[in-house]
Amino acid sequence: MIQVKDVERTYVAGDTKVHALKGVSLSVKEGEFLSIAGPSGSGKTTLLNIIGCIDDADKGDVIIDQVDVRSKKPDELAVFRREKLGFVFQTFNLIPVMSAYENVEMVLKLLKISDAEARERTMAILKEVGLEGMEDRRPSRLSGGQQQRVAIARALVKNPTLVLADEPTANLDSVTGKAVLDIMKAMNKKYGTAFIFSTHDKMVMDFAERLVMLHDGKIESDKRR
Amino acid sequence: MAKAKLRMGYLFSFAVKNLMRYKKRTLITASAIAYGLLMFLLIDGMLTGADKESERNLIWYETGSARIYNKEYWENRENVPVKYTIDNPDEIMKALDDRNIKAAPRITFGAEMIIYEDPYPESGNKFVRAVGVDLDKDSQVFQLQDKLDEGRFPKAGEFEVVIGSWLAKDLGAELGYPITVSTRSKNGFIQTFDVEIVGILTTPNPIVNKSTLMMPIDIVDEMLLMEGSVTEINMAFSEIGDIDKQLAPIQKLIADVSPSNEVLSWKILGADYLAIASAKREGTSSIIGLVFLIALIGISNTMLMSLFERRREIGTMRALGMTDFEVMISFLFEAGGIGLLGGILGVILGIGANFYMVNYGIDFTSLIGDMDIGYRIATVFKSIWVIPSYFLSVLMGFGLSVLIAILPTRKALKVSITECLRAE
Ligand SMILES: Nc1ncnc2c1ncn2[C@@H]1O[C@H](COP(=O)(O)OP(=O)(O)O)[C@@H](O)[C@H]1O
Ligand SMILES: [Mg+2]
Repeated sequence: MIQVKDVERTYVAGDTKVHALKGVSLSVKEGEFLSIAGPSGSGKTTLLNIIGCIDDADKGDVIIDQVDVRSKKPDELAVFRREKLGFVFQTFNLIPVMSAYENVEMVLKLLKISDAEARERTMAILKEVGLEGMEDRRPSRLSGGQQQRVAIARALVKNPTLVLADEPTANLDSVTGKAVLDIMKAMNKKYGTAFIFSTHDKMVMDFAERLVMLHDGKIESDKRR
Repeated sequence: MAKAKLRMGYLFSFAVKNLMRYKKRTLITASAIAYGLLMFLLIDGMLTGADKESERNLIWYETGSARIYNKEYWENRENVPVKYTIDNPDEIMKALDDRNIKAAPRITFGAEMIIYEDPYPESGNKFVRAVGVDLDKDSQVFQLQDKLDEGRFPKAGEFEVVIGSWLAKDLGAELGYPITVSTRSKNGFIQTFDVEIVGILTTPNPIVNKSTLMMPIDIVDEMLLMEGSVTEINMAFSEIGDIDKQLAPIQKLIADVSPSNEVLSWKILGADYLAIASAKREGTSSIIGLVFLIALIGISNTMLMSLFERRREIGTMRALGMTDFEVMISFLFEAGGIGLLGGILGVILGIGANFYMVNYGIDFTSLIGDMDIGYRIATVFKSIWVIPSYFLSVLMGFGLSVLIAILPTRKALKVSITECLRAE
């Protein structure tokens, strides 16, 4: 489903160049529950951004669902993300003026799904992530763990091919983080949605079914468990 | 298209949510715009009021609706020439009367006015424009009847004069004082005669108050050896309409009855004043423009702040699949919302302020006294309702706010998505 081949990414900041990815190749199949792990600065975020089509590689190929995303224009990529990809961020990134319900529903509105269907799907997914009764709360009235559940619901409500989660538990305590990972895994099993999440936390790595270790911009190991 | 509309509606409701959330900022920025528009509406109402009032005062007290002159006169008007005359005024008057047009002949002449200490505070002389009028007919054309502060109008056949109140004040003149008038007759002889002040005149037109020296036409005719000729015939049309249209038949008539004369409209007669008025208006418009510019800098600043504070939100929306155009639209809706609110607020304030200005106005006499500030208005400045300006205000508040927001939004969208998401 996803083929990343010989991807390189170099950041230029003034006179210094940082080779964040030095030739990374990776294939991901449908329904995988994959963790990209490695120390801080190893290139995890960069790799996730490139797979998530919000950043472009300097070299190499990125094919998602048979689409060569590197050849697409920004607006085409926006539509591609809208239809196929879900995102979960370390800092949750909910829209502050919207309630939990509206944050999730927004994704469906962008897809021009009818009000009735959007309502049904939004309510259902919020229930599944355990937020029944909190639909009308603004993010400021939700705990970190609850906000991240809204984010997971937002990522999943459109039945994406792939959900990308960059350090989704880094801003949560370990108990809440574990609960969030449990939900991600349950959704992965139930809907068969592929998840790629990054982490530098050993506990989180233990959740992964496949663990790709990054080090200094290169893949160090790739193990199924 | 229906689908696109659906999304527009969604972006709109999103913008409304943001406006509600940042209430304080929305209100402050909208108030700045409202203030700019209030200034615009206030000054626009006053200027338009002053212009209209000035025009009316020009016509009622100074020029009439139109005037007939000898064709040579207008070009030489600076010299107040009494030699370029209308020689058959009675014939023209009759022709106009047949057509029910109110008309009055006048003899305008340049003169040296001489006064002596006792009864005046001091002796002196002054060059003035004096006028001989047929009082019965003149009061048909000009609105001078009830404008006397004291005294009465001169009687035909008497050496009497009415003077403007500002002139009287300037000279220290009172009723019964004599004025010596020295001028040249139609054929160039120097003529000197005395007249007695019998009335003092105050009109809403400062120029008239400043310069009037009005005597019976038969006396002037006699002193200047006019032999029945006059320098001008003034006309008044009861309605103020399209003057050129009203004038056309009269011009034709004059061309037939007395081809050596011509008819000039008040717009030509008052051209000097009108030019000054429009220049003044332009000057004031640029001041309003400046006030409004400040309001617009306000909204631009608000948008910049808002875009900066919400850059991670912008990054999120873009990552979730909103196109740059959609993000742009939602921010432009926000700016437009602020502008619309400001526009409506401005119009409400403008109506309030102008309600006072239209009904009561400002009496400048207490502020500046008998000073000529270039308008043909001597006392109270009143505004008038300029309805299109109110619509324009709402439109400007909305339109300019949207326009001004385009640039900062575009700039914010140039930042890459990943950089937006990294923002604190
Ligand atoms: N925008 C950027 N400009 C310059 N250097 C960057 C930028 N983003 C990341 N880097 C550098 O690239 C390397 C990889 O970063 P990143 O992908 O964020 O790693 P990780 O997510 O594993 O911590 C780091 O050395 C980081 O400093
Ligand atoms: Mg990272």
